[in-house]
Amino acid sequence: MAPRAFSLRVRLAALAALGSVIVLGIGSLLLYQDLSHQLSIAITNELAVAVDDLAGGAPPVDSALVTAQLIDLSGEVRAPAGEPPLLTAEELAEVSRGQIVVDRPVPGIGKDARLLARRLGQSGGEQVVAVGATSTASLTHARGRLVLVLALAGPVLTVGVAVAAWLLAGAALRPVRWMAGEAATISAAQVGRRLPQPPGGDEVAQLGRTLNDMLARIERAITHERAFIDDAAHELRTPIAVLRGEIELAAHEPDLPPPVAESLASALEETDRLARLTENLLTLARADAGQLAPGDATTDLVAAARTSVRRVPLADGISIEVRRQPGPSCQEREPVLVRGEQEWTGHIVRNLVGNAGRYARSRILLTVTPEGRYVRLVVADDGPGFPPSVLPRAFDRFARADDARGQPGGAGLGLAIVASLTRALGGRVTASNGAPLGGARVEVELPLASHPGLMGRDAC
Amino acid sequence: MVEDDRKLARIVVRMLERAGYRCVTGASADQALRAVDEHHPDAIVLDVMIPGPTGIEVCRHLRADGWVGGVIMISARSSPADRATATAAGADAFLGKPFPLAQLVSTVDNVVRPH
Repeated sequence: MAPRAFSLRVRLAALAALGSVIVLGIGSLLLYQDLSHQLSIAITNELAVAVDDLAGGAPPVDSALVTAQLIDLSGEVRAPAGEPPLLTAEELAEVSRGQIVVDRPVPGIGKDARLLARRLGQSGGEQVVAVGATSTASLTHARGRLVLVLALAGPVLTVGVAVAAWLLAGAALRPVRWMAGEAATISAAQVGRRLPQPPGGDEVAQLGRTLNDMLARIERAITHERAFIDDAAHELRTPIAVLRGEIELAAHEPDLPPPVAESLASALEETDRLARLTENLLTLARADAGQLAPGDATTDLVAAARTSVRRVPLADGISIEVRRQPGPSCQEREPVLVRGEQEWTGHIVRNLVGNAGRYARSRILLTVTPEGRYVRLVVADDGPGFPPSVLPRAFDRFARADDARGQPGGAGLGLAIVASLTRALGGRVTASNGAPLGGARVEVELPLASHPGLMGRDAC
Repeated sequence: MVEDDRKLARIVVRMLERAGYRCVTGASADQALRAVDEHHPDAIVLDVMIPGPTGIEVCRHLRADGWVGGVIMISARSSPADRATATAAGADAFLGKPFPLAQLVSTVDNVVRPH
């Protein structure tokens, strides 16, 4: 599923705003229509009363609100006599069939006016029509005011609802964010940790219980896996130790025939190779199981590199140089402290140098350069470099470039272990060809450890 | 030599005897403590994973009793934490299995005859 562009809080606020727009829109429309209808009915009723008064024989009114006339069917105004008729000939013809209500401009009243006309009975042997007219400007004005009020209040209310929803969602999601933050700090080295359980029985508390149940299941699985790896280590190393010891003892017997001595020497080499392969697989398994989490230990990467380099046997004619580059805020002699045991950083260096030594023509260069919050460890050689087909999978397990690089190598686990250890220590690793020596170049970035003696400055 | 794997115990003893040492063997914590009482060895090669109390506990017990002989711990579990635990218990040296027998002999030499 593609990640959503906006947070749940933003989406809830937007949803509330959209809902308020819809509710306010429909409500405003209904209010407008109802108010218009009621006001229109009131005006019509007022006209009807005036017309009823005329029908009852009252004299035509000509107040500020209503103008009334009695008109005969020929269009002559009977009362008040002499005034121009309020109705047109067409309206007179229509009213002869009953009552009409017409909204149109009326001279003397204005462009917003309403006429109500009703045919009355005989008046002196002649049919007459009573007509009342009044201004509807008040209706128009009221409608305009209502539209203005709704247009102003609608956005304000919508924004208010969105803000309220934002705040409410924030308050409701605070425990979830808190639990997410706590969960993010639980590493594989702290599988026994649990999230603080929110009180109550609401959805958030239920989420907390569910996550803690899941953490308990993960702890059981990891504990089981670690126990299995420990047991496997014990069960594999002991017979290898016995095998190695038997071969060593036999090889120390005096007066061995040369073929037997050669066979024993070869068997010892293969036993050592088997032991290295076992160790490498166990290291990978431990890294996968999160057993190599750095914890509180720190290591001086430069010292670890110098020590480890001395432990890597290199062929005659291959030289190795270790350079400590000064960082932006680090002097050349200061230690470069990284997180994790020296065993793991040393393992990274040994594997990188061992791999470079297998393919270098004459030179290997190891540089350590602190940069910001990280330190860059680069091991380069002047060999043929990684074949292009191998580069993308240089850190895969059992990936070997021997065919292309012309020499027999190890089992293809060295760089995979470098990648696993680097990841376990919170760093990253890349492989390339080219500078500085023109051959293979492997770059490891490890996070610097905080240095208590540097008052919060990044450690060098 | 305290090791519950009889083959490995035999191999180590033969190698140490070739180097001129006189050895007695045991396969558990009880046998280890009894052998120290009876033979007063110069050093004890002690596997960590033995039946009963572990080699670490045996070492701690010996040191608590004031025993000053050399203790060389051997173990198939040899993480930095395992080594640190052994050192804290009073071990003089720690070897992770599999180890070259020559390395074991030289370690015993260093512990028994440091100069």
